[in-house]
Amino acid sequence: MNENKVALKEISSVDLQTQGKFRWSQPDRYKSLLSNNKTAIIPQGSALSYVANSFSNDSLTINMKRFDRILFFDTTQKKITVEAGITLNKLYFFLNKYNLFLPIQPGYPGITIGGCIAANIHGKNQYNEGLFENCIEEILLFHPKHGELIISKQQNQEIFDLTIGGFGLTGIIIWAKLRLSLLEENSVNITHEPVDSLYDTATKLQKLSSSYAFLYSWNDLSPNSKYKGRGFIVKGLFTNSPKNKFLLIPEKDLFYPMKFNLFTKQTISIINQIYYFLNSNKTEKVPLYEALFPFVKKRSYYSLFGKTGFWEYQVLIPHNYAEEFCDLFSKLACQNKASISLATCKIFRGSQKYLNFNGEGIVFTFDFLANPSSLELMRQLDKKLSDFNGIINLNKDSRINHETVSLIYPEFELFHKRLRQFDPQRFFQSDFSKRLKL
Amino acid sequence: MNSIIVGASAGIGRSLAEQLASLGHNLILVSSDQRDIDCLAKDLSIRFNSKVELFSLDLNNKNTEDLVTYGLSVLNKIDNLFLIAGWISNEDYIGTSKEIINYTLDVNLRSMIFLINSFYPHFEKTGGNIVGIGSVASIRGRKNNCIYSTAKRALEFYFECLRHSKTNSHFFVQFYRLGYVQTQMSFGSKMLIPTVTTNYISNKIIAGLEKDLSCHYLPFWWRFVGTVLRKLPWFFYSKLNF
Ligand SMILES: Cc1cc2nc3c(=O)[nH]c(=O)nc-3n(C[C@H](O)[C@H](O)[C@H](O)COP(=O)(O)OP(=O)(O)OC[C@H]3O[C@@H](n4cnc5c(N)ncnc54)[C@H](O)[C@@H]3O)c2cc1C
Ligand SMILES: NC(=O)c1ccc[n+]([C@@H]2O[C@H](COP(=O)([O-])OP(=O)(O)OC[C@H]3O[C@@H](n4cnc5c(N)ncnc54)[C@H](OP(=O)(O)O)[C@@H]3O)[C@@H](O)[C@H]2O)c1
Repeated sequence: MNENKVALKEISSVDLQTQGKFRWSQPDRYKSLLSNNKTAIIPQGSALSYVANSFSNDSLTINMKRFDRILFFDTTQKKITVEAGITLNKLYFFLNKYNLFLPIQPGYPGITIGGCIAANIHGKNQYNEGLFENCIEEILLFHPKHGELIISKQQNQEIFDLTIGGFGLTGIIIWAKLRLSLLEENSVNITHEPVDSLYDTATKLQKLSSSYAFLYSWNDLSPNSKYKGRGFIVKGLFTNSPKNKFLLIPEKDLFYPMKFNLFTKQTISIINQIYYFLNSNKTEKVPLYEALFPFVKKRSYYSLFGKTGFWEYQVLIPHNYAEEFCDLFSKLACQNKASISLATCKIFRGSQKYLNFNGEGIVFTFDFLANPSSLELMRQLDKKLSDFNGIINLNKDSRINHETVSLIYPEFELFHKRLRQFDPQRFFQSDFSKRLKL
Repeated sequence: MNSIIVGASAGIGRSLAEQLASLGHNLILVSSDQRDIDCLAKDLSIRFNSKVELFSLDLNNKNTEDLVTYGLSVLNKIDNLFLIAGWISNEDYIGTSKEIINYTLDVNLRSMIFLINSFYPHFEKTGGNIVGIGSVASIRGRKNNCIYSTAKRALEFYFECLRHSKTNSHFFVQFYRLGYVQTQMSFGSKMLIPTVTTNYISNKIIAGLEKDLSCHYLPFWWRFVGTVLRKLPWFFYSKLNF
């Protein structure tokens, strides 16, 4: 007598490139979560992904937000077991009372632990901390054919590796046991160091990489700046502050696209210039919450693109190609008169596996206004990527296709093969998995 | 304070469990599936450091006596009995199957009567609150959800009997007629009238403790909707399709 209730729900990717009404359910009891569904399914956290990886026309979305309980907590071992639908926000406020925190977190508190695992997200300093997988001890995964499986580096390792950064395609993550870090100081001292260009940023980041807890840049690549990329590096070190007020934010409904686009070719230059002058030499002490989740104060950013949304292009380029990539980017951006609202850089290290966005090098992130010249620029960059041994973050790019991904991701075919070995019927499918022919 | 919540695994019952745990209540969580209440019990005891026990009981079978025995053995005294559980079928119409009629009546009505009967002597002796949940679906008969609304109307009637029977002046009875609440029960239904959150309802239920309330509407404005619906001449009412 307990079937999964289904509704048609308006869902969109954060970049607004995929939107529509999709079959959606939000089970709140185990018997409905684990019930057999007649169609393909795909788990969903908070749907705060830039791409359509948690819904599709032919799949039923299983939203996990009702599974957000804490099942085990040990302060001495610094371990916590949580259901996958718990948000970083809920976890942060709980752990804060015990001076603990999750060392690797993406930039928005509404994101769920399930989403962090399935996208194997990176935090503010991937170079020092690695990817989210480094916080994971073990996971309980549910697959209709395999049942409930404990997966970890020690147990069912093959499935564990497919699941971390596997975009929900191996099953539903029910809970995860996570490793925590001691929070010795509750604030972050942020300083901004000016940089002249994208390449200047890349070289300076490399020098600073092991000295800061938070490290990334902001670069101006608007038309008026001639696509050079002057800007500043954001450097953060933990510090104590007696006055630490917390921001409380609404967890859901992050984005309310405005009816018109405030970001246009003309306005982005002005907005970037103002932002640069206000921030280039800034030093401030911010509460940890604000440093971990900088988008809380900048939520309106996404709505400024209006109903047409944007494209994000995030690439990881090995250090030895960074200079060449920066030159090529500036050249192509000039040629195409690109409209870039935001550019940032981070430094990465690690080894690449399956579909994970990982490796050694500099990560360049560009937000483009959604127009034909942006598409053309990204297409030209795609073509050059394999020459640079670069990879694109699949979790940020709504347009990349199977052909490009199989060229630039060395283990793409292996992931494809292993996924099919584990799940020949392919129970779990999303718009993202269909686009990539997974 | 010691409270038993029947129907604690989801929706209003789960929200009530969270609110009560945050207020320091010792709790017994009751629902048909042990796994859900086990997870909730762990969560509440970790987050609020409260004593939370569980008791899995399918209201379809009428072994309610066991809950009284268990409740008194672990809590000694029970201050509040929240009868929140409810169930509705999407095939609830005149002519539906015997199975659905029986299940709907068992969960929404018979089990509640059994539970009240079993706990009545305890509350007569020690005082406390028994809280029942009805629905605006039982304001006036409709072709949809007819077994469910019949059960809820009958439950309302039984709560009136309970209020009339009790003799201890520290024994309070509250019965709520709920409007649409954002839970699995109303999931996917197109509502003409706005829904409220489970937290809104559970806060109101807690605020209503130690009062005698019969057929109290939540949210309050359903009282006006109810009055209009009841006063509507049959000629017009019969034309409504909802
Ligand atoms: C403002 C903002 C800032 C961001 N900052 C960063 C950042 O700093 N670093 C970074 O790497 N990313 C960042 N992201 C991207 C974001 O972290 C990821 O897209 C993340 O996966 C979103 O999590 P979600 O809970 O919204 O999950 P969804 O978007 O709902 O789902 C994401 C994927 O996870 C799968 N999934 C979700 N829950 C489960 C589950 N229980 N079991 C199995 N699969 C599941 C889904 O199927 C889907 O494939 C940011 C996004 C936004 C909007
Ligand atoms: N939601 C609304 O719009 C609305 C409107 C008016 C009135 N109400 C009333 O409000 C109350 C709470 O409903 P809700 O919206 O919170 O519904 P819900 O989310 O579906 O929760 C119902 C609760 O009842 C329990 N339950 C159902 N069948 C059971 C059984 N056979 N044995 C034991 N427990 C059982 C469920 O537990 P398990 O399934 O785990 O057993 C669950 O804990 C109900 O009485 C309902 O009639 C709701």
